[in-house]
Amino acid sequence: MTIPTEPIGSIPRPARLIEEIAATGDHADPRLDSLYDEAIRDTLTRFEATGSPVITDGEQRKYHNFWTYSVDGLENTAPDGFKIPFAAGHVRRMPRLTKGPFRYRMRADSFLEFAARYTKVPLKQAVISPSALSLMYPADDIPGYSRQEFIEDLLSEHESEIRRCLDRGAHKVQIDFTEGRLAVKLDPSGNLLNSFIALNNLALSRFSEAERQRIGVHTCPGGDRDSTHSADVDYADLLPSLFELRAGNFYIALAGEKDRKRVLEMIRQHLKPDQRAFIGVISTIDPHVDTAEEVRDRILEAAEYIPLNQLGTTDDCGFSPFSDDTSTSRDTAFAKIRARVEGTKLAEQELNRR
Amino acid sequence: MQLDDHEEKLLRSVALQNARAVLIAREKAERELLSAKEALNISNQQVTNILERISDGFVALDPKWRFTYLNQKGAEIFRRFQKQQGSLLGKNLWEEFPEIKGTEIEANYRRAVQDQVTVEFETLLAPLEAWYIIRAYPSANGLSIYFLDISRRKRTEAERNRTEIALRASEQHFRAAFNQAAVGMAVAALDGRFEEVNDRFCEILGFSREELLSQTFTDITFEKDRAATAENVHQLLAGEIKDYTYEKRFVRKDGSIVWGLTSVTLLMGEAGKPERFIGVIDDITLRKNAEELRSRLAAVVESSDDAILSMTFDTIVTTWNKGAERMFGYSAAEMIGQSIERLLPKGHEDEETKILNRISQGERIEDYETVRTAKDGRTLDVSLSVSPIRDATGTLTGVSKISRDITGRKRAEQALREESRVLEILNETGKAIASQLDLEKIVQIVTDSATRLSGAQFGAFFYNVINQDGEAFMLYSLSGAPREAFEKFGHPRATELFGPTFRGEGPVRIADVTKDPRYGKMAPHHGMPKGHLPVCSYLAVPVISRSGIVIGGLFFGHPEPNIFTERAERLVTGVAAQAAVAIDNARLYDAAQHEISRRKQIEVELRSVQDQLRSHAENLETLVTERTSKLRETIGELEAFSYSVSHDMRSPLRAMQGYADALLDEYAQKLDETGQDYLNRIKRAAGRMDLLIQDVLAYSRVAQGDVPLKAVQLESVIRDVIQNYPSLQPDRARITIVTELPSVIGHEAYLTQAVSNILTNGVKFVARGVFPEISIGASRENGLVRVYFQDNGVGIAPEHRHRIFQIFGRVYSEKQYEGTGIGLAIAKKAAERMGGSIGVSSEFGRGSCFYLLLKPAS
Repeated sequence: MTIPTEPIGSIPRPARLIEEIAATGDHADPRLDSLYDEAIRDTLTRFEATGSPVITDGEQRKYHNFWTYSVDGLENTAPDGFKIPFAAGHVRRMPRLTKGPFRYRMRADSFLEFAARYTKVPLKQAVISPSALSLMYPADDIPGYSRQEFIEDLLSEHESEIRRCLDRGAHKVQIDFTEGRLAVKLDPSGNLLNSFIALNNLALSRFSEAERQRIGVHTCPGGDRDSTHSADVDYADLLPSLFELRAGNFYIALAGEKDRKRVLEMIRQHLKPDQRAFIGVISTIDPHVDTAEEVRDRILEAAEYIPLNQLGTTDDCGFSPFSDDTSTSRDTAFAKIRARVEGTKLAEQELNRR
Repeated sequence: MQLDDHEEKLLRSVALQNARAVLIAREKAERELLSAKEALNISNQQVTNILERISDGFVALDPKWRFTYLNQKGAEIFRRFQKQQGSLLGKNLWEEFPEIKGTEIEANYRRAVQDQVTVEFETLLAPLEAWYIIRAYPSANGLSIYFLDISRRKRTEAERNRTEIALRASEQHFRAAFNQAAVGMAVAALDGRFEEVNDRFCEILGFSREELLSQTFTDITFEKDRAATAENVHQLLAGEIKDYTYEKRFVRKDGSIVWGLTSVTLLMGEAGKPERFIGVIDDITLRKNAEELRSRLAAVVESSDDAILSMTFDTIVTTWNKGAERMFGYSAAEMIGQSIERLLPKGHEDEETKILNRISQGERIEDYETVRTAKDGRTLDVSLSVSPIRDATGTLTGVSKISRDITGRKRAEQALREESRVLEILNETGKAIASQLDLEKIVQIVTDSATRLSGAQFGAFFYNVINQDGEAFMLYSLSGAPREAFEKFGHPRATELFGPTFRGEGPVRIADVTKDPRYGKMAPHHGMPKGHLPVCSYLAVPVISRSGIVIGGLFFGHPEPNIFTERAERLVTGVAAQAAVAIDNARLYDAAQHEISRRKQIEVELRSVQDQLRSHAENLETLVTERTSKLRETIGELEAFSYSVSHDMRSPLRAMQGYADALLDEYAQKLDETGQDYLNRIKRAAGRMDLLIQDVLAYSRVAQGDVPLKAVQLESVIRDVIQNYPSLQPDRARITIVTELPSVIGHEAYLTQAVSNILTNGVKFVARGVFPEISIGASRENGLVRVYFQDNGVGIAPEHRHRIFQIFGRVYSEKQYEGTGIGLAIAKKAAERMGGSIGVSSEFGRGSCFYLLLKPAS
């Protein structure tokens, strides 16, 4: 019996890259290309060195962040979209759609294609959920481009992005769904969350069962600069609906939770037979480098709740979902990933002994 | 940070508006899904209709192996399996049909599901007694199974297979008979071209099957037999004969001829017309060859030089060839019907019976050598080879015998043996006398060998020897007779018979000595003395040395006449020559041994004298060492004494100088000029005395004490000297170092002393008005460093050179050149104490070149 283990995605960018981006003032400045490429190659090399059986490109080229990378720089957007508040007091602002039609400016398969040139280790690719991008459409309807049309376009673009990643051989495609807890926070009645689930399910229903086994959904409180936008939302409000998503895999932040057993019990209750729960065993906002033994103990704890054939491990979140986040060093990130990989092996050995 | 209310409200508003749009999108999607499902149902129904109508079975199973659909034929197939009737829908395949489990059907179904591949296989469903092609198609919904009844096809195939097998078996039998036949068989078209040939046919003719199929039987028929073949074929085709058999020859692929007993018949078609020839060939080459061989053998037997005969087991001759007639002199008519025993000589009477017994016991007799008697009484040496003769049933009926006359060979063998014996004796004799230096042994070997070679009954070797005192006397050795037989007769004298031998005139060989005119002339015996061994045949050969001196004579006797042949004489003469050489050598060896002994005696005496000399030399050396040591001690004491004397002398001298100076300073005015002059003379003398003492001291210092030697930088020492001595300064002399100056082994103070003395001398001894110049350089000489100082001084006449290195060995007076005359002596001593030496080359009036020879530092 082996326990699969996968990362979430982002790794802090090298300091020089961050400095140069700041200096040029434009993430997409062609002069930065070589630095981005170098950062990706270095990330892949160091990722491989951790022994992680599945790796990512560290999202080094996701300009700005995991949320808006696909729409960054669209001409039909304005920078004054919604603010996403974080617990540490800072705010990230989304772009606002100004006119139709809605199209992605960049699809994540381009990251995958580049990374695949430099590694033979299976690659995972994270994409943003349609529900997250749905918040780009403003409160007032855009003349000549209805909300209905926007939703249709959004679903098509999202489907297209996932298909291209699958076609490029992605080991898994992970839909980042961090706005789930935000939805609960905005609408405690749960209607908004259900709407998000329904929207995402509309997209997922376009894939076959076999394809959905290669698609996963990641949820977390939203880590940025070691703080969260909705850590105060109880998983109890989120998880029952989350497992309604028609995905085969769920990547759930857990290490940073105060009462893990309670969350595990909820997962046990709601996880469906054809779904696998990758539980977060590394707290990405905690600067302490977890030991393999700590990780092992978290897995052994989870194994008491989740059937082993449905259990996997992951990090709570990406280590740097926003490109200018320097609160965690690359060294720390890789050390924590190594701890996840080694801790998972220790847990495997322990569970196999039993 | 919390969102402000407005922001949050706006966000919520957008989200909820989106939710409505999502709802609409979902409804739309659901409608589309319903529509699709309906279309699918219609499509499914159409498929079902088709499936129901087809004559093949179709069954669908869900992922849990439950029947979800069976078309009519499918249901029928499974109903025939199942005894109970009833719907199978919803029932589990494995539970309903456990007999399928473990069969290839289960394995293939499971493989289709597991590997998600379509699996097709043929199987016999035994309970149905029917063959089916089963195709299992996996899908997300389970497994669809398609049954195609192929029983009819299978039956047809089986029927066809059986027929084919039977036909093939029949054909195989025919083929086997044709191919494996022990005789060659061939089928040929009417034009003679082969259509089929069997292996044996190919083997007989040496062609491959393919090669034969491109030929006609005429092609392979031996040319001389073609006409007969053509005639037979003609008769066959004309219906005159039904078949024919005859012996004919064929030409094999390698060109050889093979005989075949050939039988040919015609293969008739349905209309009774001839279609092909069938021929059978039996290879009778061996038989033919045997027949030929037999006739040849008969000819060989008749023409053989050997006697070839056959006879019955009771020794009666049945055949007798020409060879036998020639060998034994009896004609065939005389011998056939007679016993072979008439040929047996005395002593061999039962030999034939014994031979026949051995043959009857299954032995063969090869090259049995014996003797037989010819008709004319001659005894023949013969070699017999006897073989049994059997009749067709293998029963022994007699023997055949080949007799070969080997009389000539036997004589040759005897001669060869005799020659070998002689050669052996000669060889042994040669080796023996060549390896011997003992005279007595040599003469004994020679006597023995010559006696054997000559065939004599006894032999003697009388020879002269000279002892160390130069006295000559005669000795003898004997062979074939005891010494006593001759002792009483004394030595032979130079009678008329013996004389020629002792004089070295050559061999004397007499067939019967008693009849020789030289015999019996000498008194008192007038022939052989009484009691002498009887001698009839006589042979005597002189033994003459290389220098021509007759050493002695070899004498041989035999009581029978005509014993000694000319060959024996030659052999003995050869031995005598060898003996002469060996005796010469032995004598030389004796002389050499004598000389060696004499020389050894001289060597012993010489060694004794050398020992005495060495003893004297050692004594002398000890004496010299002792005296040298004493001399060194004395010199050392003298040097120490001179040092202490010189040193102690300086004290009163300085007192003299001091008081002289005091007198001049304080009382000069009280002295007159003469007094002052005397005082100045005293002072100068004291000054000179001091210089002398200082130099003597310097010499003494250099001459005594331990001198620790080490590497010294020569150039540094020389430059220091040049720098420190006033007389060597540039305004007073030009001193140039012209080469690199290496480091040397020395003592810095001694080297300084030697160099300064040489340089100050160099600048001092120059002609008036000449500015002193000295060139300093170094070179290598015999592993040493030669440091030279070439000056432009007055030079040294050859007659003075030996003095200049002695203490006070001045060449010029002090008036001409100031100095103590010790400087160069000090330099010499210093050089010697450093393990080196000093020297000079000079020509009067043309400067000098002083040099130091010192050991190099590296």
